[in-house]
Amino acid sequence: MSEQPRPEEAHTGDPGLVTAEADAEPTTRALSDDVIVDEREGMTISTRSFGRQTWDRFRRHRLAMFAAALLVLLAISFWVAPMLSSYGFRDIDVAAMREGPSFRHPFGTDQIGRDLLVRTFHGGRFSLRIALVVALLTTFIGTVIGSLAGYFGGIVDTLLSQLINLFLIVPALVVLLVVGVRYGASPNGIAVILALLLWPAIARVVRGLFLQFRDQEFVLAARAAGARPPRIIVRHILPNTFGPIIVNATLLIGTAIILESTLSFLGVGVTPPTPTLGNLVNEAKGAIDSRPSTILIPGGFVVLIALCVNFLGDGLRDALDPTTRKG
Amino acid sequence: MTATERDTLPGATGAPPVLEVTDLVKYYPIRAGIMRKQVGSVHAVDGVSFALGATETLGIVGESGCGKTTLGRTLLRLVEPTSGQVLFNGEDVVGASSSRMRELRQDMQMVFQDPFASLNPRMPVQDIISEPLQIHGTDKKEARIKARALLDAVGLSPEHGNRYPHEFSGGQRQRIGIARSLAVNPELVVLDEPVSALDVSVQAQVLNLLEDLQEEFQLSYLFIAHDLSVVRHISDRVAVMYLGQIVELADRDELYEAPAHPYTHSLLSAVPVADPEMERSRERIILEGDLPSPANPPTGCRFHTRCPIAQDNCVTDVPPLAEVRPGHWASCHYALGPDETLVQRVKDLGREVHIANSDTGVTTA
Ligand SMILES: Nc1ncnc2c1ncn2[C@@H]1O[C@H](COP(=O)(O)OP(=O)(O)OP(=O)(O)O)[C@@H](O)[C@H]1O
Ligand code: SF4
Ligand SMILES: [Mg+2]
Repeated sequence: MSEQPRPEEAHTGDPGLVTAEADAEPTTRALSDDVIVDEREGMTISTRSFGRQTWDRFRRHRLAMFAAALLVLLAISFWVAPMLSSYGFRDIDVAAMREGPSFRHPFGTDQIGRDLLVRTFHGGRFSLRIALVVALLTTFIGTVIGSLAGYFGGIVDTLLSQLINLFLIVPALVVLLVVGVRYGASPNGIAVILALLLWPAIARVVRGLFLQFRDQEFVLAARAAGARPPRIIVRHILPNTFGPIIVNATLLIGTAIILESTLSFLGVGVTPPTPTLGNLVNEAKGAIDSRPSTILIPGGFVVLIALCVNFLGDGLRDALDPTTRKG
Repeated sequence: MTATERDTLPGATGAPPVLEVTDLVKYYPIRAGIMRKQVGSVHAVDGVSFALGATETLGIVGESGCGKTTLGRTLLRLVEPTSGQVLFNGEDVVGASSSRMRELRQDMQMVFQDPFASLNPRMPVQDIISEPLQIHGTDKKEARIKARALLDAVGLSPEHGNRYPHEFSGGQRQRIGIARSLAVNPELVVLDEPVSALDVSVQAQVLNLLEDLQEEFQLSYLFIAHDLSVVRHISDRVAVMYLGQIVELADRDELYEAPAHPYTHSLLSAVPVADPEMERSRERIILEGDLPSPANPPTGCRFHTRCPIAQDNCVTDVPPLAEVRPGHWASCHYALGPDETLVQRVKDLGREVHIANSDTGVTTA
């Protein structure tokens, strides 16, 4: 390839221009060394991977970074703190019922003398675990159904969309109340029920993304290469939908924490004596005037987790949004 | 299909053709309302017939929306045709089973129009290029080695195989798309406006590459473009499309020097000429009216709403794509002779034609 002679004006023009060009020169040369052709277009675009670019953008999102750090800290303390106490979450200290904070019981005790710090942190552990299971399960079901509906379209889409709409109009809370009252529930049981009620929202998002991608030229190219649908869905379209799916999965953690607390507060969530943040609020509701801290502490954790998850979700959305990719 | 019918396919030469297309039709349904009821259809490709010889390049030219992409995709069954026949080396493509179709895809490949949308942004280019091989049973390691060789063949550095598409320029991406299409050693490659999205300087490089590769790998090309100047150099034959149909098909030189269809005349008058003196005095015929909607194509000759020499019967009678001169096909009741110009014909008819040139601006003659 022949190099075009550079026009004279480039050297005689604005001195600022010349400097800029001199600055740019070494980079261009370094990169074009191993580029055989198209030197004029050059390999000047950044060579950072998608993951790296996303992380760089995310890091700039102060609030999201802070929220993520706080969530990690909370999770660690939920798991570690109860180990440091000599009390289990079912242990009753008969010598100390309905006590305020003390050295032995930093958060005080409940009506029957159980240590509230241990119960709160254990409760946080259960609540968070439920929320994570809900997020994973919901995302899994929603992604499978949404991708099948979006990719295949036609009759498959019609049937699955009907299913999605059916689940969307089911009054979730009523179902949960009925199931909860009738059977009571283990943490995993509650997680499954919540996932069954929440997946349609994810399915709709994923279906939309698949509709958008399935006629893109790179998908046609895969089809032209002889790829079958499973390969196209898993290797070509799914990796391009990870961004929005991850954001939605994150936000689901917040939704699940709040839903679980609401159910437990109403007495139809996880069966006591297993503590969850919602159960703790429920157990303390009689003490709202006399000892507000017994409600405010578990309630505060619910709010804190939900807030952090939302900030984290916002940060991820900005970081993963392809329209801000150029950053 | 009988032998005599096959001989009459526009573009058929003596040699056995790689691709024979007869009456290919693709209608896209137009749906409306909540019930998504079909209220009409877009006649994207409407009765296209032609033949493509081995190692030949057929240029397909037409305005945006005339159905070029749909034609290319329908041929490879990336879009299912509404009706019509496609024979690849004599074998029926439209009726092929899905497993047979997958095998055929090794021989029929496509390069896409948009160098940005046609590469998966989440795949390193070596995987993009080696995927077709892996799908057809080559093991991963061998496919990678072949991908490096292909990168080299299209003028890119094999060391760049582990980079992602966004790290490449438009021209480089199109080279990657070409490498992918060649991975499985195809016989036929449909090139859907492979250079339209590129800078002019890069266009020439990619066109040269395509020519070199054609010679090296003995490829047959269906080269789609939206203006006549791009395909002039690379094509052996050129077909002109208008609203889903081929209106003229001839040997390259014949088509450029002695076009028979008024539409081809008007397209050619829009191509700039190299000589600045001639360029200044060159007369461009300005077509009246807008391109009609392919959802509701005009009756009779589809070009009659804009044709400067249309007669009454053009509104009702469909002109067949007929051989007006040996090897030269055109669908016009009043095809122009080899030495006739459209402007002359219009003047002979005592009509007005809008002409533009850089000296005088738009005038009416
Ligand atoms: N999937 C589709 N559904 C409905 N209509 C379509 C679809 N694809 C294309 N069309 C319509 O079919 C007609 C032909 O489109 P096509 O893309 O084949 O044209 P083209 O000649 O390739 O145009 P361009 O030069 O813009 O690429 C257009 O009117 C277009 O709007
Ligand atoms: S058939 Fe009539 S309308 Fe059509 S191109 Fe010929 S002269 Fe024009
Ligand atoms: Mg097109």
